[in-house]
Amino acid sequence: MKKILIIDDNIDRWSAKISPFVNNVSLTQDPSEFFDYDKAGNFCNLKFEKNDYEYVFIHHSQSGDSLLPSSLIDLIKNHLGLNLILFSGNIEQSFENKERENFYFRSLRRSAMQDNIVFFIKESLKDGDCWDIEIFYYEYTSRQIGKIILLQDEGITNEDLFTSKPMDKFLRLKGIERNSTLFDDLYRTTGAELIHKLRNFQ
Amino acid sequence: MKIVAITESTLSFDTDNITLVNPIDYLGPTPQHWENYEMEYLPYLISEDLKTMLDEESIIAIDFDLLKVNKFLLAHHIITSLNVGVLYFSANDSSFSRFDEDHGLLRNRFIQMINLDHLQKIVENLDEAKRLLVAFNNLFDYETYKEHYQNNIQIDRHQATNEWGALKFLYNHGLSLIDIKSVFAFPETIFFKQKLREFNINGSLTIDTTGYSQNLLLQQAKTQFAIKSNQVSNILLIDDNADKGWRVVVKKLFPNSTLDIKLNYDEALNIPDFGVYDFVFLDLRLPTNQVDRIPKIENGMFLIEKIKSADTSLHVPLIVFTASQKAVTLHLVQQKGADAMYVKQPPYFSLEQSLDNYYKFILELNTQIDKGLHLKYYWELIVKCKNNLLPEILDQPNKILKSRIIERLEMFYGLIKKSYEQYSYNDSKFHFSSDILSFMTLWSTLNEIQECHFEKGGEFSHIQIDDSSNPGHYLPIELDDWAIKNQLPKAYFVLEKPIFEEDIEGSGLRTPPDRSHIKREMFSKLKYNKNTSPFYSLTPKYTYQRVGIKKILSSQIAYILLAKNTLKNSTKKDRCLTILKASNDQRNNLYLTHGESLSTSFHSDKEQNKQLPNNITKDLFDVIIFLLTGLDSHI
Repeated sequence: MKKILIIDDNIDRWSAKISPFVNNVSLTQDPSEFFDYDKAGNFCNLKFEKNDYEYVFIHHSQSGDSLLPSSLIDLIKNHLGLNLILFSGNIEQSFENKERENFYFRSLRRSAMQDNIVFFIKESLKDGDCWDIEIFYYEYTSRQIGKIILLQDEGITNEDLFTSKPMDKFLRLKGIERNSTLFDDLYRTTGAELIHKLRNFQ
Repeated sequence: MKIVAITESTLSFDTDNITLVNPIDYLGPTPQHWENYEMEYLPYLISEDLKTMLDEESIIAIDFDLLKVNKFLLAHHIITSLNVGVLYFSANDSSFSRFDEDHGLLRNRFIQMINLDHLQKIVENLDEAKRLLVAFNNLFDYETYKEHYQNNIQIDRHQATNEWGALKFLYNHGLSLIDIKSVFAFPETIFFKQKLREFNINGSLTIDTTGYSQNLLLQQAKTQFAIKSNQVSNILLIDDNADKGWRVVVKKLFPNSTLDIKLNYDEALNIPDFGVYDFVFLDLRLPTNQVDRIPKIENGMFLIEKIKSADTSLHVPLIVFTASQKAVTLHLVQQKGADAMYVKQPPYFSLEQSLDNYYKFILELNTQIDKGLHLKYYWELIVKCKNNLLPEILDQPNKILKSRIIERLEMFYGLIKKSYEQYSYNDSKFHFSSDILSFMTLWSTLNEIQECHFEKGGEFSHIQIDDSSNPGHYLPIELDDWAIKNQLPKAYFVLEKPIFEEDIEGSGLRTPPDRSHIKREMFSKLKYNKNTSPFYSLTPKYTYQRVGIKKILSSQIAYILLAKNTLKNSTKKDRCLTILKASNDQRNNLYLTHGESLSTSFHSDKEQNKQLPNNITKDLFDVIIFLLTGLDSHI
């Protein structure tokens, strides 16, 4: 599994939270560790293998005292695309920004990132093969139910549905073990009735 | 699996799987140390009591309709201190509305709100309880929870810093949490519990400082302090937070000292003499009295001024305790005369910052103990000297020698004090040393002292000189003899003999003396032998001297020591003469004084490389006090 990278001038707000996950998360307050650039914005090259990091979170202050000037951020957008998540206290949150052709990136409010970063890491690691960036942007349980409905609409069998990722995540979130009577009860249910039962779970 | 429901309602369940806890059973008086956190006391009591009721896997269900206790603070106390799942339940679904006073609790996705029916189901079906617990643990993250709480609480930073500062100081000093609790009843608020957890302070564990960057120096400073602290016998602590840990801090630092405590400004003002203490710790923000309990910085400032302006106490080391980290506060307390300022560490300090704060304080205490003992010696003798001056040390119109001497002694004291407050930058860059300046100041006092002890001139020769304005008439010659003042028979430091010169002409005849010009010859009984201690002595008869002897300050003082009745019989006289010689040798080598004869090393070295021998300043001071008072017991 690839790592994620957080670049922030204030690493104190992350260090305690990510300390159990140092093998999967890199944290720095010095962009030059990961980017080779000149401050005038003439060039910016990656000093890391793009394949080593799934997502790169960069604190991009909107109040003008950013770690990296906007011209450099544009160059980084060009390199990383949707693997770049700019976060800030008052940035407009967007799962997918497209400024112009080939200029994609994501943006995230710092509070949403702070609230969800540990859950994001823990859940993604449980999943084991990819980082679930949607955690930051959507109500997570509802999102899984939505995906289950889509799978039903596609005509998936109940057997396959209960081994699918959305159902796996849902069961884990709700603490439902596969060898429990509760699971058996759900497994015997299909269609709209199943969705109704899932929605009623506390 | 254990389920506990906290409710004020009368609920009944058909199973023993649940324990009911009613907050009403915990109502009672709030202890004094919780007085500023009253809302948290009941939640604290309940959460502590729950510890005895729980299994390894437990769920605490809190009734959302609690009235006697704050349901959010209760949840926070439980979540912070117990490893359990927490949820809210209500008989009325509509009560689950948004609350702004939840201290960030409801921002956490792990908080579940269930209705009473669901609670019944959980109690009857432990599998459901286990499922909820697994879900809770899947969603719970302590760091995020704590962040939400701390971002949403309003704490009195000053109060929290005082209490946390004391607690953390004690921990840094080597006490375990159990030790601390046995001597300091601090309020175990949610915030405190979180801080204890953050620093891994629990049970009988003591601090491990091996990771601290200055650990070796810290240990050295602590060893020195353990020895030095025994030299401090009487301590005053003025602090309205004395009972919030600082009494214990001072007691632990100085276990063998007597500790006097004043809790407010008025109590401190009633102290008749601050000079009875060896050390004063003063909280800057002090309430005026029991009625006016608003802490004011002006109260602390006034006390600094009072202590540091009184003759009896200005030498007592005064360390300001404060929760303020403002540079302006440090500037103000220094302006008033405080010796140092200790900033009580705020809760947001890291481990490194916290140990740094502790280490610097121990260093400061070591310095202040040395400084205090050193300055006490000088100041007490200066005060004694002021009260026991010899009658010759007095002010006269246009000749205020007494005032000038006292002023110089105070200058000297100030320079000694400054030597402890000197920045190393000044030492290294600008080369001056307060030690040398204080020695020079002291030496300069000798000039006033000889002025006091000698009466000069006023006697007339038996031979006379021509009166040029009135030919054929003669005028008496005034002699510049120096005698010890107020003493009979007369003891002359120098006696002048005027003579008229005669020439022998080529024919061998003597010319008549030129009565218009006199030559003065100088006689004295003082003998100086630079090779044999005590270097100065008196000969039985006046002998011929170089005219310059009169101008030599060391000779003037030596004669006073040897000939003045109130001094010459002292058994310390020889020691004083030896000190005088040693001091004179030193001052000849210093740049601000004019040497009698420059030593060969004077121009061969820079001032920054010159150092005074140990004790030379103190020895000279001792001699000066003797010259001013005739008292010699301190020598």
